[in-house]
Amino acid sequence: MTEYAVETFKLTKRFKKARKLPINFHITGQWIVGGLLKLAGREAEEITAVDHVDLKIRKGEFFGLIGPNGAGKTTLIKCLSTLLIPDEGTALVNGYDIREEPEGVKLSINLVGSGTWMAFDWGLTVKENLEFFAGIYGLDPSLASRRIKEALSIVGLEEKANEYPGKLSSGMRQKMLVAKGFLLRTPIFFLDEPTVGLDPGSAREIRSYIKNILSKELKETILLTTHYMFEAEELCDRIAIMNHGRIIACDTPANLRRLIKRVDVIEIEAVNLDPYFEDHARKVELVDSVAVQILDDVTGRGFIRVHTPDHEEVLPDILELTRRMGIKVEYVDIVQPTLEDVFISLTGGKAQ
Amino acid sequence: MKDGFEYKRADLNTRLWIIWITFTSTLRQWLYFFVEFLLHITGMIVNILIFYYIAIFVNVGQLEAYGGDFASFIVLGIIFNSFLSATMNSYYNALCRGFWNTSLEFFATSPVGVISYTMGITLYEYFKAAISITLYLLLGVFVFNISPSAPNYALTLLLLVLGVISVSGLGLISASTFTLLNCRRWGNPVQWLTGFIIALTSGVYFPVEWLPEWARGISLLLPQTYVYRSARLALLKGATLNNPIVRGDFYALTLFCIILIPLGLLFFKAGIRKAEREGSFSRWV
Repeated sequence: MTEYAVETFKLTKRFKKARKLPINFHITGQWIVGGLLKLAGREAEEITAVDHVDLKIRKGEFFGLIGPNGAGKTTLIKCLSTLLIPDEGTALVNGYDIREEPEGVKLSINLVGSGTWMAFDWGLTVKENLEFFAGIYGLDPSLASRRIKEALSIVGLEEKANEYPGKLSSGMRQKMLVAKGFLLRTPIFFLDEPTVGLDPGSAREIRSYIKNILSKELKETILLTTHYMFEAEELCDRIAIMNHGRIIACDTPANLRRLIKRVDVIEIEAVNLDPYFEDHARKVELVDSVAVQILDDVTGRGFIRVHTPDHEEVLPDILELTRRMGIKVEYVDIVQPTLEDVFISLTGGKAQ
Repeated sequence: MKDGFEYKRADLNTRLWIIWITFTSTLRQWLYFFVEFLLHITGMIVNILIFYYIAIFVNVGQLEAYGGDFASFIVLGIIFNSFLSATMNSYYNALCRGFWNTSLEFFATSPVGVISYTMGITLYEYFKAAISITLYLLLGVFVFNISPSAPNYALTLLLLVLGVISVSGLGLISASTFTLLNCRRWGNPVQWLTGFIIALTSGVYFPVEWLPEWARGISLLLPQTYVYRSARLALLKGATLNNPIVRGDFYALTLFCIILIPLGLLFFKAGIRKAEREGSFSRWV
């Protein structure tokens, strides 16, 4: 018996980019025109969403997957949950091969998919919707009733149990989605951006339940994708950083931070920030990477983080650039690299 | 439960339960949008009134073979067609509905999967068709005074069952275009093509014998043609399997069942396989 809950072997998934036809046709017309273009040899462009990924997640481990938009995180989760058949390689999930034994995989996993709250039936109340899903999972009615009560309490939706989803805010619908995931306690739990759009208090409650109950107490193996670096750092035993379909780093949060320990991080708080500052600052000598995070669109208040091997050399040039671009600097500090810095350094992308 | 964890269930009871709760929840959603429900009922009544008054207005001859009453002919045609159309379109409609509201993705990760969900939606479509049929029958009997002389209900039911089975095969082929041809926007070539061919040539609104020869040739390829003709004969003239036309239609329908069901399942499974390869069950990949 393997010690791993999830193992991938050169897992690869490619997609053909949809061809945009010059004119809008009825579906039958699209089919005919698309077919003719295919016959004419004008094949659609191919995109590799997941590129030879080798990953090992131990049983009971809390594993994080971070990466910029389009990095392939969701595609990887969809392959692991048998929603997609990979083009190359395979994976074992709870010991079942996703290609050969998808039924075994499906029995073993629970998935909270990103943006799937539309699956809720708008003619049923919150509670009735959860009863519906509990029924599909095959939960006994008495257990289902207990779990629904518990899940609604964790996500803070007890008072909305008899409301219809159409009358809830988008954040509340996201909570419903998470509550659905809390109904069943399978060995493996895939969570695709579960706290996106939630208020900080609710997100904290949900994180606490996942970490303390599902992970520590029930020993579920959890694979979490998130854009929130602090969330990954707070929850995960190990984190993989994904970019362009590949795993570019995989370790504990502490070890990942050490990857860029010889990098100085200049943190600048400023107003009137310009998103194009990044492009200009990257051209400054000795600058490795730059990230601009605007927190207030009205005042342009936010943070600039500059990665460089020598902050003393770079800081005057950066400040001169802010002056030329009309950015008002309020505070400058040289800080220790965080997971966010590792992410920026490795992907060149932005984190939240 | 094993190793302290819970596993999803995939036994027969769970499958039947999923069919049932998909049916009931879809029905509740339909009733929740009550105006749509009323419009549907109104549309049905208007539809049958139009054809009934056309039947009275036009001077129709050559219907002795069906009892000589065009109004009865039309009403029964619409009733049978409602039922077989529900069969024809429900599988594809289930996939479209599940795709656009993202529930298909959820069912695809469940071991009882897409097929149980599709069956539940099909049951709902039949329920809707049953409401239509009941209304049509009530209108036919109490408003239009349609009273079959010696109806053979058992044979009618048998022919309808054979019709439902064989048209299910066509419905599964139609549903497979959802993934095989990426027709995900409510409307596919099979539905589009068969829709007007059935209306024109299968004998829903007028006897097949009235059609030109080439169109009659097409009608022979549709299981609906055989159901409509023989079920009318059974209901309006009390025909039995001893009637050579009915016997011929019975054999033809049996043959359609034997051919279309395995073919439909083959296409449907190929469609599911392609969806898993391309991620077509997910609205967002």
